[in-house]
Amino acid sequence: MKKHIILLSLLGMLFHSCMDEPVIQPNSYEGNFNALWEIIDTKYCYLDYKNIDWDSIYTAYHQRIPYIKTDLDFFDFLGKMLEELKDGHVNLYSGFDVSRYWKWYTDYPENFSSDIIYSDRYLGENYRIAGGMRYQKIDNGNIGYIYYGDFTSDFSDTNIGYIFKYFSNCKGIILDVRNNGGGYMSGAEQLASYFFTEKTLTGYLCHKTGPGHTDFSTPIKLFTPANKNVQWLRPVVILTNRMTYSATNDFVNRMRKAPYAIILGDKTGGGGGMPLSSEIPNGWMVRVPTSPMFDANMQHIEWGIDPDINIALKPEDAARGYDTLIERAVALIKFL
Amino acid sequence: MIKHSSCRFGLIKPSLIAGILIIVCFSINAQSSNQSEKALTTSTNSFGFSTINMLDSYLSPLKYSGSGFRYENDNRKFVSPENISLSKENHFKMNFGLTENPAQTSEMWYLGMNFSWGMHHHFYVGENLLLLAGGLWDLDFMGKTNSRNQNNPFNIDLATNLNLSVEAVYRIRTPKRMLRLGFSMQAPFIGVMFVPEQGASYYEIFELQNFSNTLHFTSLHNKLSLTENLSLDIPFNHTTLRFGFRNENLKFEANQMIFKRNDLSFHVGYIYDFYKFEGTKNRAPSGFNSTYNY
Repeated sequence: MKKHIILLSLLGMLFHSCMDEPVIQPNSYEGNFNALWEIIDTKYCYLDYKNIDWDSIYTAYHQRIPYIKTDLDFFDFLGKMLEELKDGHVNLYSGFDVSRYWKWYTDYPENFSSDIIYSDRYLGENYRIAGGMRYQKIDNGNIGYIYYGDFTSDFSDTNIGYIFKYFSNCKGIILDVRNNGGGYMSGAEQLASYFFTEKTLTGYLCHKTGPGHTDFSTPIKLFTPANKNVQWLRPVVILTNRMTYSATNDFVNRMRKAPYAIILGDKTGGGGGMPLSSEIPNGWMVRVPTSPMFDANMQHIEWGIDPDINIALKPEDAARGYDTLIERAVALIKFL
Repeated sequence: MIKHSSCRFGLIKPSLIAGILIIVCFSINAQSSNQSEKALTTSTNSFGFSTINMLDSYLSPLKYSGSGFRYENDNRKFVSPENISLSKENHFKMNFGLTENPAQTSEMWYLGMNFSWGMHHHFYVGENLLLLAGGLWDLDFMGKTNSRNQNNPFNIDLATNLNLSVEAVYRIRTPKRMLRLGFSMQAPFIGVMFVPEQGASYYEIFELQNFSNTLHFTSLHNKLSLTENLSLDIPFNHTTLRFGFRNENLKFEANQMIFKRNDLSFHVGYIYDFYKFEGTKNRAPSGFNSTYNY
């Protein structure tokens, strides 16, 4: 019997050595660099789409490691390497800083002024707030204006129902999602659902399944349902700028298929890859897009979505307190 | 009369086991009508403190380590009072705790639960040694959450397994009391488990309900686990206490990710036998006062 017990113990030890565990890099500059490079190499979903030669980036950056003397320098160094991805969803988080890539909007006109939209001509001081949406009737009560700046602000059918009821005498509404950097994907679907009359295919989503640059799952269809409780079946103009990003980018993509919607403004900032979190041995967290999203024609939306009407905020309008985009949207709704 | 069947421990020689089995098989009716003997349920409640280290490649490429608490309830009884070679049992385990990454910049909470049901055959070897061999079917769940993660903030180890189980119990006679030294091992050999794909977000899995390639058949090629338990039971005047160490090792692989969990715990429990009176056909005899059947 003693033999049997020993045999079972040996079998147990054998079992535990069968599956190779991933190599965990040491907590050194070299180890952390390798770990971060590998995370991007195996998880980032746009290396091929963006035609990035990640191996040559390794070579270029690896040789600089011996010259790094402080954690602050090392953080900046890794941040620079991540900038090569040109992705606003890629960030490195340490206890003292967050690396970021913001050129997707800083290299473009802002096309938005919060001073103007909070002026008496638009929201004014007495605007109403429901579920994170700030709303007011403009143009002598003919048009409803909603500013929604953050998809992490929850809203409900009840909130939207009150807003639509308040705008019941308006010919159309303007839904302003400029400077909305995203938030919950479920919120994007829900907000779009108020403008659909039937369940509609509006995009696709897949994800990385393995370490290879082309290891992706079969794309699944993303539908936008028609909300059963609340619907707005009159014109709606969506205002966009380059800071319309991530979940808001997805919202705009969905609204392209809404029957009474028009997208107006600048091309959105993109951010079509849903990021997951990982970390390197020194405990810094890294955010990496692993799930690319596509429009209804299976085209990437990573670089943004073109509006139906491309229009910029004119400085002369801004100087008079006018928002060119809102004024154009008002005129458009009146014309429809 | 209620009789503690385990008092026969060690009195039956292995050569009689075959004979007993035959008797068991052909006298079910006779047994069921025999009201003089009852099978008691031996129940153990244990509380323990454990140190744990785990690797969840969906949540992090790093190993997390920490500590937690566990509770376990075990119930075992003979299938019939006449057949002391076959027992049935059920177990419930729960553990929870907190782990950290090596740099201590991130925390991962875990909560695990395991329900299992099974049977063991009892082999009485000599006067003091009892060997048991059997199998268990279990439902295993562990939820883990890494609060700083975005779009992959939690993961679930969900599995059902058929396990092989062996156990040895050795009675140690001392002048004052009879101690019981026990050692058991348990390992799953076939089952099904849930593992997400490495790039799938919780939004895609749970909100869009895309569960494709998340369910996996398991066997020794992709899931290895061994639970070892060493215990010493010491009877006192009014209670029997159990002191033990448990070592649980689990490792599985799916969707090109490795998951690992090592849990070493020390536990203390108490053991008692009971008989369950229930329903209308199995009511307590006179002399047993109940607050319910008063």
